[in-house]
Order: sequence, then structure tokens, then C-alpha cells
Amino acid sequence: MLLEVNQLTREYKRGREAFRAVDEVSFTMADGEFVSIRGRSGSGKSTLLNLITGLLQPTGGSVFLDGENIFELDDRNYSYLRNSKLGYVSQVQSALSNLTVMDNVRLPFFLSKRDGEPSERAAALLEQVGIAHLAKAYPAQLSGGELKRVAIARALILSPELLIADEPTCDLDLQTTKEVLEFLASVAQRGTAVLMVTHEADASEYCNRTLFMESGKLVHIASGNPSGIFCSAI
Amino acid sequence: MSQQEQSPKGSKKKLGIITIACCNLKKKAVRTSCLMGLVAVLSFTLFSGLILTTSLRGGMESMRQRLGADFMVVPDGNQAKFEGALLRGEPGTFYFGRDTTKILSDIEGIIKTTPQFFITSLSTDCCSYQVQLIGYEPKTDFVIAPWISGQLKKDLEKGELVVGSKLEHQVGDTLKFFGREYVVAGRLQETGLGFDTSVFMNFDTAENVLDDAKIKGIHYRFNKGDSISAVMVKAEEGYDVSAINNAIVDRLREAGIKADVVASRTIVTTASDHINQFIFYVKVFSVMLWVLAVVLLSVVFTFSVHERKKEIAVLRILGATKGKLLQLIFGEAALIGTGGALVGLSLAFLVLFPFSTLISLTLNLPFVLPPPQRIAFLAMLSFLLTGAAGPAASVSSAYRIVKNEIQATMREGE
Ligand SMILES: Nc1ncnc2c1ncn2[C@@H]1O[C@H](COP(=O)(O)OP(=O)(O)O)[C@@H](O)[C@H]1O
Ligand SMILES: [Mg+2]
Repeated sequence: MLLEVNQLTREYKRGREAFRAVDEVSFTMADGEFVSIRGRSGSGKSTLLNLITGLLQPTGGSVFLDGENIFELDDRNYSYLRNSKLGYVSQVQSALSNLTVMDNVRLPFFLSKRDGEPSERAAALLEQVGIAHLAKAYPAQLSGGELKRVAIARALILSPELLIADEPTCDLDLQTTKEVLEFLASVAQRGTAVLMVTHEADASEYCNRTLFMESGKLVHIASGNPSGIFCSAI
Repeated sequence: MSQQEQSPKGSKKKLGIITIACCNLKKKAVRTSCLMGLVAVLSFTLFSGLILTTSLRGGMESMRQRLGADFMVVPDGNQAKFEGALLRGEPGTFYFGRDTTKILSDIEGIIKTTPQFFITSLSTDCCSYQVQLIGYEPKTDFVIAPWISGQLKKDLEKGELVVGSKLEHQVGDTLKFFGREYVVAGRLQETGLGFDTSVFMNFDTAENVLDDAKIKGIHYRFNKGDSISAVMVKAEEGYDVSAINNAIVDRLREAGIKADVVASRTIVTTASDHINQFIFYVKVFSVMLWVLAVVLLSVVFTFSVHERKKEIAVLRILGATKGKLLQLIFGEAALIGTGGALVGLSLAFLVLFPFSTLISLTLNLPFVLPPPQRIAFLAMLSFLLTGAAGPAASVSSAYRIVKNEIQATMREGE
């Protein structure tokens, strides 16, 4: 199994009271699977993704990626794992503003010791996400949708085993949303598992499974095309 | 990984941490130049301060070692003028009888005496400024001779000159005083004393100069053939300053000669006090400036942490280790530090060395630049100290960034 999430819990303090933003969540993902997570705003989706990438420390539970418990790795190994096995597209704009689009995409390659040169692959990825013409631009000159594509291209530069995307289609127009979802589906088809948070009810069409979150818990796992269910809650 | 077998294409630059640091600095050019400017001021001050203090100490040391005379006797009331001439080459004239030399040489404990004779040149004569002309007696002299660079072919003859190190005239050149030309027969090494801007000649030549001065209508109050300006005195090894001083005063009073006695130890001590005070101020000022720079840089770095936090979080997400993040933070700070330090040092070199004479004149203190190795060492020291101000100032922000939970930083950066 590529990803095993067991009893994953994260507590936050709200005033004096502790509450669970993520509450004993368990699920698994296989190689090349495309899974989406839906749920109301504040239901804990981003917190869950941040736990899985190891960016947040859990209050309880474990995450195994490729058989390794990510919370037990030291800084070096954990950094290498994020660098080489995980791709992450955050909910907020995350391009480095002082680097060109091209350099933003090339960057992960240089964060661990490697031979070779990522420029060709970076150019190909920019082509695939449709912003090859912006390679030399700086992030400040790009629109929100274009920045999302930069983030996606950057997350894929090292062919990760798992791509995690937090609302990659928010703020995008219908046409662009469709393009991004289709692209992610094609990524999954080529073997990189994709775990995506989205508000798009239509997204389920592209996914193998959709998970629903409510108040930190996974309340429902729908497979196939669960259109209609929960739509009113989103 | 699939890209490992990709062949390197073209000359795409590597995106190491230092390259990223450079990009960050370049894109924030105004901020970067302000910070570098601050560091430049620091390194300029530090290096100049070090050079000044070392030069003053050097001047002091050379004065102590090389002021051949232990006592100098000058006409009553002219001590200040004489010190001005001796230490700073300020032209001055004053005279008393030549027999003073003989009287002094008879005192027990005094082993050598030699007379000197002071004349002031006209500023229009040889040089753009007034020069102190010093007549001395090559036969008995022990003050000037040790300074003559190389060897005079023979004793200084009538019509020949020896020039101080700051005069540009070379051996064989001629200098004109009161309408007559004289030949340079020798040069002095740098003394850090007023000698550096003085011109030396024997008594015959000096009288010649005075005769010409008279023709030009300039009268010095002296008796031809009998006047001198100062007697330089060398005492026995391990002499007692006040004993000799008293003996000189007593003997001259008996002879009816009114004179001031200047002990070189006292001059040196007084000058030393001045210099030590100056050095103290330079030190305090440098330390204060260093602290100020570090504080200012810290504030700027901490303020920019907000924006940096997100960048740091992104790098972390992409797989940068904590070590790499530290490299980035300190790398940028070090680039600012070293860049600023280099600018400051270059400016200091441009200002200090061409104007060292002017500086010594302004400070009114003996001044000898240290040898090149010492200058290089001081430059290196200032470079390291100021270069370190950048990293020192970013310690706290680096610590905060590395300590923070990354998701939290990602949010705060929004
Ligand atoms: N750093 C934090 N401190 C306290 N509460 C937090 C923090 N981050 C998120 N939360 C809370 O946890 C809950 C889940 O947040 P989040 O995972 O961002 O929701 P979603 O992504 O599903 O909209 C929210 O109620 C939010 O207020
Ligand atoms: Mg969210």
C-alpha cells in the first residue's frame, strides 16, 4: 500500500478547550489512485493533508508512506522523502517570488544531491500545464490560475509517488478547473497517486474515490461517482 | 528517478542555496543596498579607526625610539613653538647664544650636545607651503644622521641640503630659498616627526640663507655667527630626568641664559596620553557602531521574517532540510555583510592612504603608517568583524524560523 493513515488525530486549542481538527481518521491509498476529499470549510481537510505530508505533528496516530512511518524519520530522511516522494500543491500561493517560474519549477531538483539537469523536464511540465510561455516571468506577473499551474508543475518535477493538492481548483473559472482536473487525472493514470481536496462536486467524475469530512472525521467514503450526495453541504 | 538519466542541457545555472540567496538580494535591490551601506559605514569606521590608532602608536613608538635627544634646550618662552616644530614641522624661529652648547656639554651625565638653527622659508620659495629650515652641525650631530637614508657620499657641504621624507625632491634636485638654488644631497626616512617636512643644512649654508633673506628685506633677530635655536642633549644611559633637568636649569641660570628645558620623555608621555585618549574614543565608537549595526540589521531581518516565513515554509515543503534553511538565512546575511565590508574597506583605502599627511596634520599628532603586512592584517580583521555583523544579526530570526512548526509559518505568511 502506498499510503496508510491510521487513527490520525490533531488537536488544537480554541480558547481553553481542546478540539480535534482531525479526529481518528483512517484510510489507505494504492499506487496511481486518484482520491478526492470533500467537506465544508473548517472540517479539517487542510489539517489532514498537512499531517500526511508531515508538515504538522499529529496528536495521535500514524502515517506510513511506502512502508515508512513519516513521523519517525529524522530531519534529513524526512526532508528527502518530501523532496523525492511527495508533491504538494498548497491552498495558498506558494511560488517563491524572487525566482522565475522556470526556476521555481526547477528548484526541488537542487534540494537533494542529484546528477543531471532538470531544465528539460521543467520545460516539458510547463508545456503540459499550458504556461510554457511564462517560463521567464516572475510570480508577481502571474494570475492565480497560472500560479496554481506553477505549483503543480513544481510538485511533479521529481515524479513523486504521491501528489497532494489542497483545493487546486479554487478561484478558477470553469474551463480552467476542467483542464486542471483532467491534468491531475492524467498524472494519476501515469502512476502518481493523487490526493486532492476540492469543493467541485464534478471532480468526483475524475476520481477513483471521494472521501467526505465533517468536523474532523471521515464520515463517508463513496466510490465511483457519488454525485448528488452531500452537495448541499458544500 | 527518471530525471537522473537526463543529460545536462546547455549551461543552465545550478539553483543552489547561495544562488537563491543571491536572487533574493537582487530582487530586493534597495533593501540590500541600504543594509550593505550600513555595513560599509561600519567597516569603513572600524578599519580607519584601526589604521589611525596603529599609525599613531607607530608614530609614538618611532618618536620614542628615534628622537635621539633626551633633552632639548630652547630660548626662554619658546617651548610650545619648539614642540610644534619638532612634532609637526610647524615653522618657527627663536634664538639664543651659541655658547649654550658648550655650557651644557660640561654638565656631568651629559655625553653629547649638538646645536640646531631654525629658519622659516618663504612659502613662495620652493614649496607650496612654508618649510622649516634646520641648520645643524654634521660634526657633532647625533639627531639627524641616523635618519639619512643610505649614506651621504661625504659630509654635507655648503650649498647642500638633506630633505625630509614628505618633500618630493630627490638627490640631485635643486631647491630655491630666497632666490638662491641649493642641491639635495640626501633624504631622510620617515620619522613621524616634524623632520618629515623640514629641510636640513649645515651652519654655513644656513648663514648663506640668512644673508639672502636680509637682502630680500627679511630680518631674523639673531647675531650672525653666534646664534642658535636649540641644543639637543644626549644623557648617559639610565639617567635621572629631574636630576639632569635641574642641573641644566641651574647651570644656565648661573651663566645668565634664560632657557626652557624640554625632556623628550615628557613630550612622549604627553603625546601618549593624547593618543591613548584618542584610541579609547575610537574603540568605544567602533564598538557602539558595531552594536548599533547589529541591532539595526536584526530589526530589519526580523521585520522581513513575516515575508520570509512563507518562503521558508515553501522550501521546507519542497524538501529543504533545516540545515539548508539556515544556509539560506545566514548566506544572505553573510553576502550583505561581506559585500558591505568590501565597499567600506575600499572607500577607506581610497580616503586614508592618499590623505594620510593631511590627517596627521589635522590630528596634530605624530603619525607613521604601519607596514603593508600589518595593513593587510587590519583590513582582514575589519573585514571579518564587520562581515560577521550580518550573520550575528540574523541569529534570532534564524532560530525562530527553524523552531517554528512549518504549517504555522505557512499560514502566517499568507
Ligand atoms: N493553527 C491552528 N490553530 C488553531 N486552530 C486551527 C489551526 N489551523 C486550523 N485550525 C482550525 O482547525 C479547523 C480545520 O481547519 P482546516 O483544516 O484549515 O479546514 P479546511 O481546510 O477543511 O477548511 C478549523 O476550525 C480551523 O479553525
Ligand atoms: Mg483548507
